[in-house]
Amino acid sequence: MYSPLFITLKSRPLLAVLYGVTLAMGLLVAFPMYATLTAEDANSLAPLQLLPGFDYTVYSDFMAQSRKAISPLLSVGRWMGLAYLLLSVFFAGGILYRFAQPGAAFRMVDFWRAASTYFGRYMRLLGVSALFVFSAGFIWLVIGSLVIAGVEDTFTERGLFWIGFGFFILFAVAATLVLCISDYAKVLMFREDETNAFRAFGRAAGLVRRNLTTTYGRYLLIIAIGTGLFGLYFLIDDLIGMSNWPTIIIMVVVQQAFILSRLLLKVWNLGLVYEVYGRVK
Amino acid sequence: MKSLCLLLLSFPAFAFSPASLTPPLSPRNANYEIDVSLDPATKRLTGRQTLRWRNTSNDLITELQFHLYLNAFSNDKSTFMRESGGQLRGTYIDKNDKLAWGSIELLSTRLTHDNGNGPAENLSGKAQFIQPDDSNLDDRTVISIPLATPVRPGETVAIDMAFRAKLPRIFARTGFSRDYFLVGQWFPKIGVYESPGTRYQTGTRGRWNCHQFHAHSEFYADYGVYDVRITAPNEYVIGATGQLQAETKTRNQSRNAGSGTKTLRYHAEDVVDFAWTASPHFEVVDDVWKRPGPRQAAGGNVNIRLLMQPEHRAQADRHLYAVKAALAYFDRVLGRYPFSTLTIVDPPLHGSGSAGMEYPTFITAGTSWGIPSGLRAPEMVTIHEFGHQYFMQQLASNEFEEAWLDEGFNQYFEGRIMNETYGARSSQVDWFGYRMGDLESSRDSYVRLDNPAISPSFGNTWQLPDGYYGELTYFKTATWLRTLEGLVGRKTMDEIMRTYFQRWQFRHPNADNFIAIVNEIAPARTSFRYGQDMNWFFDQVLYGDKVCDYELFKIRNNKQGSGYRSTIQVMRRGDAQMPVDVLVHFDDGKELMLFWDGKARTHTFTLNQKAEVVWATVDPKQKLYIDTNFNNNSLTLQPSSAPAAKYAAKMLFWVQNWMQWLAWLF
Repeated sequence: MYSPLFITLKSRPLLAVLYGVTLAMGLLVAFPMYATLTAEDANSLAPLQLLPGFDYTVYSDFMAQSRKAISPLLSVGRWMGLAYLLLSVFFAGGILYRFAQPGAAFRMVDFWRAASTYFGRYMRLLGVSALFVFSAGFIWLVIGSLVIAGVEDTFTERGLFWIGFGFFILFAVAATLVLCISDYAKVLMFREDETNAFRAFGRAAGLVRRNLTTTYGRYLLIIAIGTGLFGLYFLIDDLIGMSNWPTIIIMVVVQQAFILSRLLLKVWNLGLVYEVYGRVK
Repeated sequence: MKSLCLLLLSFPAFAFSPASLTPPLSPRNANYEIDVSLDPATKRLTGRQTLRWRNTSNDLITELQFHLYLNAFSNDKSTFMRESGGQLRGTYIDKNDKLAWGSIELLSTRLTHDNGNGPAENLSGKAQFIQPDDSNLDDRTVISIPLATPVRPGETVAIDMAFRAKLPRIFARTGFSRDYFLVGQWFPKIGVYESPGTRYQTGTRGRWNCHQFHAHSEFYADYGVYDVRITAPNEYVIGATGQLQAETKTRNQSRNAGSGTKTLRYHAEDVVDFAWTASPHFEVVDDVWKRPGPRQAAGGNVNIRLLMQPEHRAQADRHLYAVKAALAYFDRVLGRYPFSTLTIVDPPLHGSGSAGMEYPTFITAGTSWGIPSGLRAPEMVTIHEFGHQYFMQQLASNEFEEAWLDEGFNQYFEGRIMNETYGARSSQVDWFGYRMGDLESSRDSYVRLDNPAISPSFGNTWQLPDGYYGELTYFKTATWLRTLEGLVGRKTMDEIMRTYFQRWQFRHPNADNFIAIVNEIAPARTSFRYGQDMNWFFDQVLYGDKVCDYELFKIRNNKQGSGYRSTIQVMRRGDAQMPVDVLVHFDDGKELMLFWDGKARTHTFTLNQKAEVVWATVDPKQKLYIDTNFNNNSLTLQPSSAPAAKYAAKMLFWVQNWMQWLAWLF
């Protein structure tokens, strides 16, 4: 549990690369956003009312005037996410290579080579994972909606809520289980040089099933830590706010620390999977 | 005093009846005694009523007109169904469901002259369906009954009617949903005979004003006293307009027919309608609002009865707090709530089509299980529907022809009360940092229209542009009322509203009546700042479709000797012309308030001061709440980029999070 964490913490160059990419891609949206907002506010005093907190009228009037300028940036933000998804598929091989060579010094060329080597098979695995997330996860949402529609006349609002919530939990469990299996399939493909994504997913599913607590339990723990960090962020945001330059700067630091912590969790999770797979395979 | 006592003693009936000493609040020319029973199994009502109707005009009246509004649900060709398309406010009718439809049938009608003591006339079978609004022959919501003997001026006639009704499955306002019943617009109800001088009626003769049931309007009636006996199964909890007078239970003779029935007798005075509800599941929460101040001695309490769904019981206090805030506010600002009861019905979610409705002393709210306290929908709807006790019940304007007079005025007051009670910027929503005030929500609904100049608010409701009813009647009106308040000041606005209320209480006001009061009060109180009258205002915002948008366009400073010659250019971007203030701020901290009549396209102020202008704002107090863009109202020569930095940083953060979420998928 802790060994992969220590390796992660020691892999500062790796984290720097990953964070740098995240930051650079985010800034591709943030800088134009800053320039657009500065231009679109037309030297009005109204945006100052957005500093202490949200002001609906200022926001609404602004968006009514500037939606055409802002919308493309939001769209770019959405596409950045998809681009980063592909990059994370690419990075996976490099990250696992780091855990395969924990004592060696981090070399960018090794990272790049490993990433390139496994990119193709991991893309196929992404397709398989997506297939299972949709078939095993979203099916619960569909079933849940049908059940709610069917029993609408029988249950109270509270009853319907809990039925819906129950199916959402089933969806969440199914989806996270698939994603957990996908992580083990990744390691399996790396360590066993498996190239067939379906076979790797099937073998990983068996492994996770046999070691549910060790595998899925730890996966949920990582998610819980991430959720806890989110809660902490909102608490800090509420306490500090972004009402003037000093607090804006402080919160930018907090935000980036939070992003870094999420990256760290992601890498730690892969290291954990790598270590667990080695023990239980 | 002594002679008065002797006089009273000589008329024992008066002497021992304090109520009869009090003059009626309203004309009481349409008084109903109704006996109705509900069969929950068949969703049917069986009723008999005696209407005592007085001809308040100087005309000989040769026909009577009645609403039979449940017939709006009798087929998909009624005017209501055509206008609504079978769906309103998110709920819809299942046209294949036989139980979904509703109707009302008149079984017999008999008229007796001279308040029931004169010659009688059998009117059964003489009723004809008429369609005064749209000539839709499939609409059967209004009947005309010709009379062989006219009703004389001042004469009261007694009209006995027997009727049978099938309630529709609730999708709009009235009907049933499972074993919940909200019974509104359910009995044959006489129209309003408008004599010359009433509202827009001119000429030598009056006319009936009896509109068909429309998708967006349903209220216009004369005042009266209602005595209603409701019979329903014992296990049902009943709530209704007015005061409960008595309840009697009848054991069922048949062993297999449930636990018997009960009959509740309700009495309501000076009301324009009567509605009731029945459900075996209501949880009853009783409370009392005690009128503050010296008037409490006069017996000013209001008994509030909440009929809550069991799973909403935890929200009872939210409803009570809201309605007490509304009672106190209206009482203070407009005038006394004259009734001793108020019933608030909380419909089940499956009957939500009946939520958010107003009837005299009886309203429906609407909530759902688990709604967070920061989402103030239950409070908002409670306050809004209570407001109709003033704008509709006590000021019985014609909703069909001037819906803005009740819905718009009420929306304005909803905003004021919500903002005062829950905070101006967070009264409607205050949840996870997202905040929205009630009045700003109203403004937003109007100014964000794809075309705010689509139509005036004034006009027959059913002839407003499709899809713009709410925006034009509720929100545009609330926004221009807030603008009027901005121009004349809150104190004068309250005086206007109070005068309007007191002068027209229990009558049928129209736009002219309100505008006359504004013109009577506002110019004098504002030292004729806006002219001899305010007609220019109403011509633009009520009768017109003008759009208001002022912009602080340019600021220039030129050094001249030891001081500065500064020019401030303001621009009128919309076609509405409103007077505006312009606040100018100098770099030595000094500020100047300037005034512009707002008529020209642009106006340039030239100032010679020791300091240079840093910023200026047109309409700094946002008096012109109808302005479609407040952000262009100000201009600064020393802009701060902090807001842009804040939101760019947030954007960076959330884009990074978005990337991480997706990355977690692999």
